[in-house]
Amino acid sequence: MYQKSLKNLVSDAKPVEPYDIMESKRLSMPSPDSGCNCCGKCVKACSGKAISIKDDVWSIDLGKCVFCRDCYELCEHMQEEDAPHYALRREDLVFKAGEKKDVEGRLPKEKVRAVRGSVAIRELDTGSCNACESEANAMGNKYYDMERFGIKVTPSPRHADALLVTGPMTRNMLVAAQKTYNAVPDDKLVIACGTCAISGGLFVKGDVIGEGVNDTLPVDLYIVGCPPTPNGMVVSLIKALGLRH
Amino acid sequence: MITEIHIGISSLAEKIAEKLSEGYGLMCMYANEKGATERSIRTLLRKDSDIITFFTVIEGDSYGAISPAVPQVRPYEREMHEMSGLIPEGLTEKFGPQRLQWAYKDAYPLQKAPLPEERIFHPMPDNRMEGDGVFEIPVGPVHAGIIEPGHFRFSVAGEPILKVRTHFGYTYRGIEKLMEGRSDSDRTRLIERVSGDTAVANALAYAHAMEGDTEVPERARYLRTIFAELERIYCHFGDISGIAQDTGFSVPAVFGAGIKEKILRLNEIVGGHRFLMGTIVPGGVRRDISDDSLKAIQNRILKISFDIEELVGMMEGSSFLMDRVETTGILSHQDALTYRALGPAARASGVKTDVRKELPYDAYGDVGFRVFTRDKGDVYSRMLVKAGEIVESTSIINQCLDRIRPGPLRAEVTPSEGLGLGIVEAPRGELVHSAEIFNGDIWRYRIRDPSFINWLALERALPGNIVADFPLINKSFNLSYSGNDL
Ligand code: SF4
Ligand code: SF4
Repeated sequence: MYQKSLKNLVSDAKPVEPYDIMESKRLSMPSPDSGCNCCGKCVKACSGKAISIKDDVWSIDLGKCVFCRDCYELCEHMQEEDAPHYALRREDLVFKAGEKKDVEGRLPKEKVRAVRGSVAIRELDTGSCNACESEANAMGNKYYDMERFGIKVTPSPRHADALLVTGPMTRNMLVAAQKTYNAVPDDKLVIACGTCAISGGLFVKGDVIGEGVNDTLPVDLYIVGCPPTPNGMVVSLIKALGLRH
Repeated sequence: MITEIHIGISSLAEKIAEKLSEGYGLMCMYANEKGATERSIRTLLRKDSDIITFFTVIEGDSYGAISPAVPQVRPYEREMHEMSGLIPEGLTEKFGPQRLQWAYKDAYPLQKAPLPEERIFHPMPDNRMEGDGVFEIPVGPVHAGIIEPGHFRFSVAGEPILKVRTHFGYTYRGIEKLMEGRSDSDRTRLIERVSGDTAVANALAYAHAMEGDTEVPERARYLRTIFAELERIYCHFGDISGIAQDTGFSVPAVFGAGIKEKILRLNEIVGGHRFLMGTIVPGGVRRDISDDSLKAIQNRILKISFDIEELVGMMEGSSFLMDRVETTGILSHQDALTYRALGPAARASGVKTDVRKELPYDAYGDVGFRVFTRDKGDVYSRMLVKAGEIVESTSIINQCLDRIRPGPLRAEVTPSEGLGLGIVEAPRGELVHSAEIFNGDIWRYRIRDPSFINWLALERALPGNIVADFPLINKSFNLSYSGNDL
């Protein structure tokens, strides 16, 4: 049996994805071409209330987009652009029509003092729909294999450098979330993972606190997606924290 | 097929008991607000394809409690009390919070009037077990792995668990309320995010509830079936690999997680989303899938029957893993029946129940498959049932691929007035969506996730096991916290 397991392990063609491939696979975000006359059709249809038109300027907030692709079907001017994996500031996630900017910066040195070549994360679910959890689990599978970059999940917040928060911060979870935050040693990072955690997403009118996790915990990193892809999460951590790859 | 009966509150308990003794199962119960309809209680019962609904108008907010006579009603009565403000009279024990740890003063979440700002903390009742050497171990809501939040209190004497109490609500977002007064596409997006890993099943149930008698085009029916089965396959692979993980046997765990990832990638190719969100809409499916994608599904499906055989073979070949899973976490046949356990958990305890067979929807009536059962009710049985279902799912997909023809994808849907029901077999069991539609808008939307029932079954399966086996047993049920809390 053991022989067989070994055979299985070695016989499988190497599935591990190189960093460059992981980096290049991105979610797509909508952006209208020059034919857009700001008719406002997409604003009305967007379930996430992500698109807005103000003074004839079209813009999308990736922190609210749920990547449902409704807007592409609605309007022939809507083009697919590569979305960023993450951003360091909330306002960086707002893109105007056709705008291209590099928001994938690196966290300042004093923020990442606790991170020396590897990072221990503690996942904190504050009311997510469990798709984000599923993807966070997938970071450890043999395709993404986050441990090769020095990213690992710790069972206890006491051993964590960073909190990976998913979900819109429900009222019931608030106390537990704050206690978990306090249990993490100082020099900690808070990562808002997914649309819910960034802005409250579709649940912002529900029984949740504020608009996203940022209203209760100080967020350092916003990972885009609903849910973010596992490669997106791994790449975000590597790039923002400056891990070796 | 659906029989609606109006009965008075005084005879409701008696009628439910009568139907239960005739072999009907209680699917769901919920309360309606006054306005478009009366202040009322809706009861849904099912026996195979025969559905009966009781519509009971009530005066004011209180009624004579039903649960003393019919214990199965208890979780629903508790839900109606908390969410809809109904007061069951004559109960000896007060209800603890089910979802709302922060209750409203003189108000309840589903009321039509605006909700007050002020919230009152509603503590969990302290009904721990007492006795010599009996301890209570609290666990959660933040757990060690990457899973959802829930709070458990184990009463133990030494290692064995005597009793466990579950405490949920941490992922309560108020989805049922958010469903009211929204556009159709908003609701679809929302419903897919009730429980992310059952996005297809939830979207399907919602679509069925909205469709009423609309004829869904043939190609759409087949595509829906394929999507639903893909979801079942990846969920079950995740569960089986999780069982291996929780016993500490990482080779099959890594292998199983790898297969799950392959199916998620296949999902992305065929449906544009790793969890197939946004593929199903009322009336049909949203996009067509190309012949190349169908071919890709076929190729992957061919390999899956071998993969699952290898995975289970690897696990069965290890005596220490078998030591852990056999006779662990037994849900007895009797308990499965009394609590009306659902899905793989029930089938592993010898209850042959499967909505796909009893009430065929979409293309399930046209394809042949077996309902897989086991009778021991332990972790191992649940694992085998899931493995068997994966094989059956591949066969269902193959049959669908053989029969699928080009054709229209979507029919026009005008929601029918009154009750709309969607009952589907989600990977975790029977999922019920019930919509009260008036003037084309949703007045009340009730989601009854299989986890809502199966958490009670899990509580029954735990006593007698050691605390260290809890994660394993929990994984073998693999229940959804967010589906339970909504
Ligand atoms: S993809 Fe969906 S949520 Fe995102 S901008 Fe388009 S319509 Fe809005
Ligand atoms: S961001 Fe999307 S996938 Fe993640 S928890 Fe929220 S709804 Fe679910």
